Amino acid sequence: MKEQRRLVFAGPVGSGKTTAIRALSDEPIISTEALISGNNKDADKRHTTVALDFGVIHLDDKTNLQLYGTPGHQHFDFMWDIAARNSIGLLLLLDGRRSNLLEDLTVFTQAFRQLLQAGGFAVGITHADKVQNLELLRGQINHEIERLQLVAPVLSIDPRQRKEVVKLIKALLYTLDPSLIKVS
Amino acid sequence: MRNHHTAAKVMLVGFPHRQQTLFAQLFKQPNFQAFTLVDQAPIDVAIVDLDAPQAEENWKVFRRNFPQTPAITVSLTPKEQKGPYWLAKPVNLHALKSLLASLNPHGTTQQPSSSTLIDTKRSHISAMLKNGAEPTQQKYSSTNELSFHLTTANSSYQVNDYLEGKLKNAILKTKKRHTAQKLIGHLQGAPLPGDLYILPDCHSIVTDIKPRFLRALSLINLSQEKAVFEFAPFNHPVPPLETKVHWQTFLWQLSLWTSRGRLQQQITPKQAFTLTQWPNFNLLNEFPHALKLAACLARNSCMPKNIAEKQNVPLPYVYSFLSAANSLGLLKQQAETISQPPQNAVRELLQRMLKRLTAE
Ligand SMILES: Nc1nc2c(ncn2[C@@H]2O[C@H](COP(=O)(O)OP(=O)(O)OP(=O)(O)O)[C@@H](O)[C@H]2O)c(=O)[nH]1
Ligand SMILES: [Mg+2]
Repeated sequence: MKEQRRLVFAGPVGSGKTTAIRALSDEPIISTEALISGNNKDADKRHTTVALDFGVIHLDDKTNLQLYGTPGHQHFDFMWDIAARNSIGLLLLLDGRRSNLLEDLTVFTQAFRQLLQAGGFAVGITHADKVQNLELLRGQINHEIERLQLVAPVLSIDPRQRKEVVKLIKALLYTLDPSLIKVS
Repeated sequence: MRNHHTAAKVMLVGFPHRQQTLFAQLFKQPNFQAFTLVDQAPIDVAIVDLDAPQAEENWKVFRRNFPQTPAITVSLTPKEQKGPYWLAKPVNLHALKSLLASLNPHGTTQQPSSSTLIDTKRSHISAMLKNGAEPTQQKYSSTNELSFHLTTANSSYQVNDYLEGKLKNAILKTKKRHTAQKLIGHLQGAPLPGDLYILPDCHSIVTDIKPRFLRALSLINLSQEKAVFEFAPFNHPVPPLETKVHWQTFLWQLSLWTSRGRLQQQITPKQAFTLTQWPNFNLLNEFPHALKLAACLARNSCMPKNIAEKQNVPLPYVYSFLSAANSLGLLKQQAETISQPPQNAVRELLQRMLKRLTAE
């Protein structure tokens, strides 16, 4: 049996968790998406994750890295705990368009505080192309992270771009251990 | 031994006999051994004297015979431009050499050096750079490796003597005043090789100056060379130019080019520094060791030498990182913290993850 390790993606509805996992996964992702009913202001956004997204990176012949995407809706937050178990870190994707983005940050860091004590943490600002003042927003997020007595890289990312998602993960890895050596 | 097969063939056009003799001696020097003087085709590069009595005629004949060959023109004062490369007399030998190297089609890809003078003939520049010029790129550089081969013993620099410092201050001003600014100035009287604007609304730089020229501009020490870079408010609609990048992307890259492994003088190597926040590496050139340095300095405050030793990163990379981070306002001086070596039970797993993710 291969060893299974885990990375968790969290964040509010529509922040790009499913998209990021799809961009990373070596296998087609297993998703429990449901069609969003009613009017939705985001024309792109027709599905929402109701239980979990599940992707995988085959690290090598010994290990799989499972990619867990949690549902954005808070009424599914019992899934958050399940996903967080045995994870090496949390990638929090915050939707740059949301006016209550800083509250989202507090809610999710609170919900995942156990994971944050033991594991790594990195924040991605998604939909950054629609952010008026990215520097200002990044400053505010950093300030809030400091206030919560956490340390985390905060990068803008487009979850549709695999390279950018990979960069955020690499930042998380170095945060966990700066002495890692890049072998190419 | 001079290798005549690989040496770039250089032809002199229109120089008086005495100067030809001087050039002949110069080209025998060891540091010019990558070049050889020839007086007939085939040639790789020409050096053309614009002060000669029949300079116009010489130029016409040269261009008729060698329509594609790059030419460096030289004269006492700027003349009507004949091509993208012009050097003032007395010719700075270092500038001449690096310009020759950069134009040598067989050579390694060296960039024009700091003192290289470039004119504004866009058509010529675009023709010459067809291969070298990159399209709009988010990272604004073709490689993420830094080049330290030009690093001198002098390992610190005064950022305000460079375009980097001018740009940094201009961005601060733009933020405050919300007006666009334009780069104005000259290089020994010759115009800049294109336009560059700072835009307040989208926090971006737009420019049609090619990266390789920007790199050359970034190395010009304004206190030593007859060049001027200033930013002036620009109250007209800014024309659309080929490159538009976030100003942090641009300033970071400019900073890396200028630093070349040197430390800004404002950063005292005997003091410890920490990052106020991570550089946004999805917008910035993530050069070798950059993530590692960011992770260390986000958590700890360190002296440059110590972080280099502890993390086994060559000091020039640390210097470049600190200089660029300082230009972006991400650096803060703070008493050194003793970082405990990470006792990470999953280090081996993390290492494998990194390897897998870097392998693409
Ligand atoms: N332009 C742009 N679109 C994005 C970005 N991030 C995500 N999207 C789009 O936003 C939509 C929502 O993304 P999802 O991946 O479904 O979001 P989610 O986090 O899984 O949402 P829930 O499952 O509902 O919690 C998709 O159409 C994405 O393509 C971004 O940075 N820029
Ligand atoms: Mg989803």
